[in-house]
Amino acid sequence: MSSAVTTFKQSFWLRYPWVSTALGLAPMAIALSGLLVLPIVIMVVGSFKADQGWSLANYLATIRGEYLRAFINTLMISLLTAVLGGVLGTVTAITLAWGPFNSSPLLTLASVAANWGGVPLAFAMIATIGNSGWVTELLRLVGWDAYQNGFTVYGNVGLILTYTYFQWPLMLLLMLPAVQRFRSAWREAAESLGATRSQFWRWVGIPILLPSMIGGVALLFANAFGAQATAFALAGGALNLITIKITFLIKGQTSFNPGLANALSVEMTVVLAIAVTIYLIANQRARRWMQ
Amino acid sequence: MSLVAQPPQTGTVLPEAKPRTWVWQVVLLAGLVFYLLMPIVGLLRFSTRAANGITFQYYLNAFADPAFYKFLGNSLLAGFWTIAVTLILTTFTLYWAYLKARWLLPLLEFISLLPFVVPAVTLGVGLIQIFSTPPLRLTGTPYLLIGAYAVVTLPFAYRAIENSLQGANVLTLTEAAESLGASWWQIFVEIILPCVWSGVISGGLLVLSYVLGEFTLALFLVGSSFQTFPLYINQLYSYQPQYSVVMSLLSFVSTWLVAWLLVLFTQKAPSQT
Repeated sequence: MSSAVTTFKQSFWLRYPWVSTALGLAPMAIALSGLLVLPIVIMVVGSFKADQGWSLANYLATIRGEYLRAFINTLMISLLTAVLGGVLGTVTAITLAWGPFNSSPLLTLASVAANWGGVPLAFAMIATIGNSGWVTELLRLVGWDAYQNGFTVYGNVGLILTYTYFQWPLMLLLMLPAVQRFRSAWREAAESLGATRSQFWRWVGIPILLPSMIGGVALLFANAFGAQATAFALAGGALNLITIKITFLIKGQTSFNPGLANALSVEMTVVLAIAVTIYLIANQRARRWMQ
Repeated sequence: MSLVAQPPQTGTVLPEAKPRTWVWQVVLLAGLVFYLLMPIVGLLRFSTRAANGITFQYYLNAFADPAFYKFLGNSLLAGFWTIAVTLILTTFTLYWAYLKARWLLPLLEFISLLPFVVPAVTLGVGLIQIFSTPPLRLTGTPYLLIGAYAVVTLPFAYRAIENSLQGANVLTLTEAAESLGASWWQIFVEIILPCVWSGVISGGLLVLSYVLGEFTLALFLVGSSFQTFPLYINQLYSYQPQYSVVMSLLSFVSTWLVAWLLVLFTQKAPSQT
């Protein structure tokens, strides 16, 4: 009797293989649709709703006044930190990979710094370049008072310096594989053909490394554009960033407005999708050289 | 260093091989080290500064506060359950996809990039609207936070486990085990899990590191009803900044610890196989 049951069972699973496939994939599908897809759908639908049904009022509000300024400010800061971190990280990666340095302790430090961020980093930067931070006081002793010259850690420049703390090492870690796989044969070939250093960079080095660089900068941009915790801990509502505006639209007592938060979130998602697409395309280009 | 700077001795060298100095490279690397350690110095100074010299009283007080253990405990609890959910889900789904639906693998790869497109703020905005109304009123509970973390940390788990699954020949191993009469559960637990163990450990460490530092989703979804460690650090700053700075230092040390363990495990992995 038991053997008859087993035969039936086996034949059922064999006859309908897609059933077991679907059953095995179901938990992940349920988790993703409930906790990732559904929130996005709700957000998009909610962004087109105002008090009396469907409308574009939320989007119209985002392209005016403080929200437009916040959007432009977020774009500028993200671009600046991405380019700054991107250039510094690339040059550091090249130095580490091609120079006579022991890189492993520095790489551990870099991976810690790239992963740390958030609230603790904000307070650490206040203790460093805040009004009574140690670097500020050291500079005062030398004779330059940053806070007399308009600098503040709670402003845009302070935020850029803070973001550089994780953007620089992140770019270093992103670029290192590409730089390491850059064949020394290519450099030697260029040199033996009589290329000067600038000619080597113009015709060989930069063309080969550029796709990886663009991809890395795009990822750094996305990283800064979507960041909230560091800025929130650093200056509360004082910084004019999209993520901070959204936080107060959702959590604030006086400025509570989920419809507007939805519209801003959708716009953010569009910008980030463009950045990630650039990353994917650049990455594909970069792989051509990495066979 | 001197080895590099010496001009070549043999006659048949390239004409370009002039002595190299590494001055600006050393300056650049020193600059990076300075930049990455400068805030840590700030934390150390701020947390030990006293009217007359140095004090460690803030450390003693901060660690004597029972609230610290409660909120760190909340974060560790969330971390534990997130690791369990994410890793089991990812390992099993990836194994299943490898075995039965390889066409799904590019889709899973795409999903692993989603947290960059849908950052914590955006996800929080969506989640809070679904789970704050009666049919599924879960805001303020750790369940919702753990669920959100499980989705956000999928990329870490995916990368780590995908790496170790690629190395093992899953299909052959499964077929061999099946022909010897093993059940699918036996195959998964006794054959596949040991193959991906290093991926599971490094994925788990990355997830833990993320959860211990995550602020945005915790602020949006649970707030004060299930206060986590980063929320505690932030709140503490407004009335006891020195304690908050001690906690920030602890967060740096724990990130360091995780990175160090990761290096340890990833270096050990090749010798095991």
